[in-house]
Amino acid sequence: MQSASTAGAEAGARPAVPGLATTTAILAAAGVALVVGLVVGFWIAPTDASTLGFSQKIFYFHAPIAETALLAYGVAFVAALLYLRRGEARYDRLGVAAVRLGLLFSLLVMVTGTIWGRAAWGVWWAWEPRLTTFLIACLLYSAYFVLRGAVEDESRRATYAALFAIVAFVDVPITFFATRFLPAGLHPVVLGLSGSGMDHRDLIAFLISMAGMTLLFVGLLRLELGIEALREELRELKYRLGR
Amino acid sequence: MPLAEAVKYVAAAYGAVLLVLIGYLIVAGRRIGRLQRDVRVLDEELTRRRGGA
Repeated sequence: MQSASTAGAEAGARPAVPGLATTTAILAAAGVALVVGLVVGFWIAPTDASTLGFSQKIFYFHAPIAETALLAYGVAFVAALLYLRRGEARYDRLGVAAVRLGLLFSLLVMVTGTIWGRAAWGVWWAWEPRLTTFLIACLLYSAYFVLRGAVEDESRRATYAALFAIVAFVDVPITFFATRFLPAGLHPVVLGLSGSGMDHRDLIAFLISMAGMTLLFVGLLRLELGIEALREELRELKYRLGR
Repeated sequence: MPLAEAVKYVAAAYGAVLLVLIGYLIVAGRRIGRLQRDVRVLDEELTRRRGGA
């Protein structure tokens, strides 16, 4: 069977990124959903009547980005379990891609969160439960890449990384439930068992943005996996050339 | 907080998100371009070796 890169080279074309058309369609759908979410949030939902005022509008991206970051770490956790159980390299690649995106979304949470914190609470940072546990998650998952860089053997690197991803995931539910178990913090509970407490237009904007952000994550995850597939192709070619 | 000041914070937050995502996509595009070039070069070399053998 002919590889994608071989077929591409013989046709004089660039090697294809697997599934790029579908990935582009997903990213376009994500863009549409995020724009619709913002339109509803800014033009249809009412301005917050509390002390937050207009700065509350940051919420429509901030909260979905935070949930997506935790989702990415959840995907890395499942990928790690699957790798340890089946030993297939594709689960290691999935874990790497998920953690990379988790860190990207975490960076966005931190940036939007500090700006919102300054606007709402008057401080750039507060050592409150949600912020602190999220920062710990960021540091833990940054260490994931330090660990990967420190182990040369591919199989051992994947195993250690999978074990680390499982241990690091312990912080994710703590971060998620921090506002519920430790209500003394500054963060409100967005969606609780008794409802959201939000105006229904706010909730609609939030849910549309949440769907958009999840689609963005799926699209970027596919893009990362496509890049990993190209990298694998390159490794294979180097091996065949004896390099 | 006055509306004019709040608008600045909101614009900064959304601007930062847009900037980081565009930056990420540019970096990803460069990674893809570099990998595609390397794969093509090695692929051509492999094809040449096969032709010469």
